[in-house]
Order: sequence, then C-alpha cells, then structure tokens
Amino acid sequence: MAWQRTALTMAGVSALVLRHAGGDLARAAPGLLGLLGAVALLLVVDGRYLRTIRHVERGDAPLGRRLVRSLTAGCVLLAGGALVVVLAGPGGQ
Amino acid sequence: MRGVDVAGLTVPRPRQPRLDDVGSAPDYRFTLANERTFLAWVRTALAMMAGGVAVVQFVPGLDALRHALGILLIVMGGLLSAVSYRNWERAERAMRTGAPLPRSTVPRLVASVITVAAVAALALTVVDLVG
Repeated sequence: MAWQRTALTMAGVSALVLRHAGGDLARAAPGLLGLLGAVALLLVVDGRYLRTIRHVERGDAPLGRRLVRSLTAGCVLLAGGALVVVLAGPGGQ
Repeated sequence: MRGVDVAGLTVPRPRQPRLDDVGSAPDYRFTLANERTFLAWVRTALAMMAGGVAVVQFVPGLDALRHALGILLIVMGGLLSAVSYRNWERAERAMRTGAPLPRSTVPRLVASVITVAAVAALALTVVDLVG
C-alpha cells in the first residue's frame, strides 16, 4: 500500500502541474508524463507485491533497487518539470 | 573512469561495491521497513512540490515573493527525492554489513524549510487580507 499511496501522491502533484499549465500542450507535458508515470507505477507495484511475497516465502531478500531508482528519477524529473511550468507562468490566460 | 574534477585534474573516486555484493541480506522485515521509509520521504518530497505549485497558484500577494517561495519548495522537493534514495542505499548497506545506521540532518532541514514556507505563506495571506 505504501507504493500505491506514493503513486497516488505523484498523480496529485502531476494534476496540479497540469492545471497550472492550462491548455498549452508543451507546458502540459510534465504534468501528463507525471500522470502516466503514476499510472504505470500503480500497474507495476501490483505485480511487485506478489513477487515480493514469493521471494520472502523462498527465503530470498526482497531487494528491488531498480524500482526505487526509477521512482527517484521520476520524482526529480517531475520537480524539474514543475519548476519549468512555474517559471513559464500560468497557461491559458 | 569516474572521478572528481579538481583544478582541471581528474582525481579517481573509489567506487563503492554493488549493494548485492556487500555483507549479507538482512531480515526481510528490515529491508521492507527501509523501503517504506524511503517511500515516506518520497511522499514528503512530492507534497513539497505540490505545496510549491499551490503557493504560486493560490497564495495572494507579490508575484516575486510567491514565485520565490514556490520555487524554493519545488527545488527542495526535487533534492529531497534524490537524498531519499541516497539515505535508502546507505541504510541498506549499513544493515547488510551490520554497521550502525547512518545519521542524517535531512529531517531538521526539511522541518526548517516547511516552517519558513508556512510562515511566509501565512504572512502573505494576512498582508493581503489587511491591505
């Protein structure tokens, strides 16, 4: 559930960025990509949960560095996109 | 080779071994708890970004002040995301080697930034109401 909560938070931030961008497609790109990333994360973590259970039942370590890295990169990119959108000013006005 | 540039010279930086190659796997509950801590920090970072965009959009007052406050929060959110990964890896490495968990000044820094941002947003709102 912690991953799902994080994906939902990411979707919320992306929606705010999207709203600030107005109707301008170029400015809307960071928000749209963030929303897509949040949806992709929601889909991926479902399978990951089942894999983690299988790993634990086998006695393996449930270490998933790739997803942790991807999420970090996604958040840093979203911050960069939000910064660009805010500096460009509100769209659609 | 990876290295650090010092006055035009590239000084090699010792590479840390891969996480999987260090020590032995800790109890899976600790690994999962470390992951949940990382996710909680990422959510804090995302909340700071949301706060930054919201400040620019909704807080009344001078444009320059609103933007400065919003940009501060967004930049801090981005930095906090990156630092969260570093802290996750350091904690995982420490657990695998049996070393004490690393300490961090990040909670203090985050609390300070959020306090400053909240006070500034409150001041801008009150000034707008009074003026």
